[in-house]
Amino acid sequence: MEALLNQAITDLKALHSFTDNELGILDMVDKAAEEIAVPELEHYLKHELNREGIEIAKKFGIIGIPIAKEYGGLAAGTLITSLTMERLGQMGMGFGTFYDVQVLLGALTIQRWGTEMQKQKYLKPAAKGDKILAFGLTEPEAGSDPASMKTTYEAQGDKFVINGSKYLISNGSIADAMILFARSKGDKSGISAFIIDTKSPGFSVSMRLEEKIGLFTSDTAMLEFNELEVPKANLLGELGKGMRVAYSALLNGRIGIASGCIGIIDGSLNAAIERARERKQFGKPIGRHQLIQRHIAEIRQNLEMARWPTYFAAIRKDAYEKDLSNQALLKEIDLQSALAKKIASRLAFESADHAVQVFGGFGYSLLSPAGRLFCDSRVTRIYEGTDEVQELKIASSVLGDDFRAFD
Amino acid sequence: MQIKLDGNMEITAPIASAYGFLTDTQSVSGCIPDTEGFKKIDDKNFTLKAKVGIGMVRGLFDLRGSFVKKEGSAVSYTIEGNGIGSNVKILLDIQLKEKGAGATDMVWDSTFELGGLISGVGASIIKKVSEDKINIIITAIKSHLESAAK
Repeated sequence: MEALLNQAITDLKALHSFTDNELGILDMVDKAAEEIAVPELEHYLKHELNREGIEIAKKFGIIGIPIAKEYGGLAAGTLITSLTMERLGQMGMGFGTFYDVQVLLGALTIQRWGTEMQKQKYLKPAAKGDKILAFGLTEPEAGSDPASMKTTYEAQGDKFVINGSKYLISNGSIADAMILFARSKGDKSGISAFIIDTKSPGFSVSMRLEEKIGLFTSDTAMLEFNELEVPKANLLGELGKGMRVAYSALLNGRIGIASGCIGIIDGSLNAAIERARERKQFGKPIGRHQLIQRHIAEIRQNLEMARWPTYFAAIRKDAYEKDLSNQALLKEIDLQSALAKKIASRLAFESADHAVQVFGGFGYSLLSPAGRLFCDSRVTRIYEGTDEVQELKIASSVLGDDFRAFD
Repeated sequence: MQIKLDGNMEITAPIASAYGFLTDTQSVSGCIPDTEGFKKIDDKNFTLKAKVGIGMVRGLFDLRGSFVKKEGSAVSYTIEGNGIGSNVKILLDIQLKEKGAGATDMVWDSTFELGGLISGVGASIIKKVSEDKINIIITAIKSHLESAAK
């Protein structure tokens, strides 16, 4: 089989001393991913959710990788979680998207901001995979500009009442609970975060989006909230400070998606190498043709260019986790994670395109790994912060805060 | 694409009955999952149809099989054929070793050669599916032999 994470671990040893426990976790991730890969392909071709993959992930215990031990996790850091996303990304981003939302946007956000009651009720089962989580920020008219959201909450006695809709929500129709963002009714400044139970009256799935151009094994849904009642105890973080919760989640998500993109590049490289060695044209393996070698060299270069900003962002995030009051470090990670996502997602798309070219006509089919990676790679330049949003962050980091295009 | 898999397993059955089973094409073909239409051509050659593939990339293959006896209670099977725009050739070498007390060690070594559509879905997936298939075959052989020995 391909080198999987071995090369990444070897190269990273210059920057990080892996403990035996961390190497054990990554070995387990590798075994889980190997088992998930077969149903992932089967469900991908049928354009349906890979529920078997979730069960396999639960069996191997990889859902709780970055979650504290007292909540049923393995207490691993950002780098190990990133390498997990990289390994999952090697088979495409369908299952990787489930994992990213469940763990990085969902569980880690509750771990960071949740009360003890919320951690017991939601984080503990989520870390085991017994509760599926979603992250409800995007709306039909509030994508890159979440501050324009229209979903509202209103305090009524010991509860909040929520009305509105969310759009293109990964895990949306399969979630048991969801981190939901809404603004105070009649007040444009107060966005708050809540944990809602999807079985509550007033929650509904209005559509499952199946007409996608990739991510076929990932659930994407449109959600409606009609007089949805949420106990006040389910407020996540401080009232009116929901965007802090959202930004901390998206910071984790950016590193996670960048890591998944490294996986796409790994997968593209492995697939292209395999094809170049096996496929013969003009009497020799196509890998002996220099123009095919160029594609492979491009993917290999892309891998190198995507890895280091992402690994660096993950390592710096681990440093921040030990010093949460360090605002300078947080600012640095905000930039590093934007750089990592922008670079890795563009290179993932390019790499998958090179792999399709190496595969020739068969690469245009979802039966080929190149075709599947190509389809899945496109969304990584959009979700959890578009290329353009990352560019705004990068530009303002060098121009200065006065030049920030948005607050 | 070529995938090599090997392994060994202890069987609670005498070596003579194990060897007899492995040199009977009908018995061995009964251990291959998802097959139909076994046809014995002679003592060492046969044909059958088998469902091969992964998920929707799955279809009926027309397979031809044969074996040769090797020295020292060993047997070598070749099974090959075509279907759904793909071709497959499986070489399976099995060596039996007497272990005493009515037990036999079965050491096996296999090579899967795949071409066409199926080979393109990805080496890691093909390897996992091939491992699962060969384990089913080997486990079925063990199960048949041990039931017969009881």
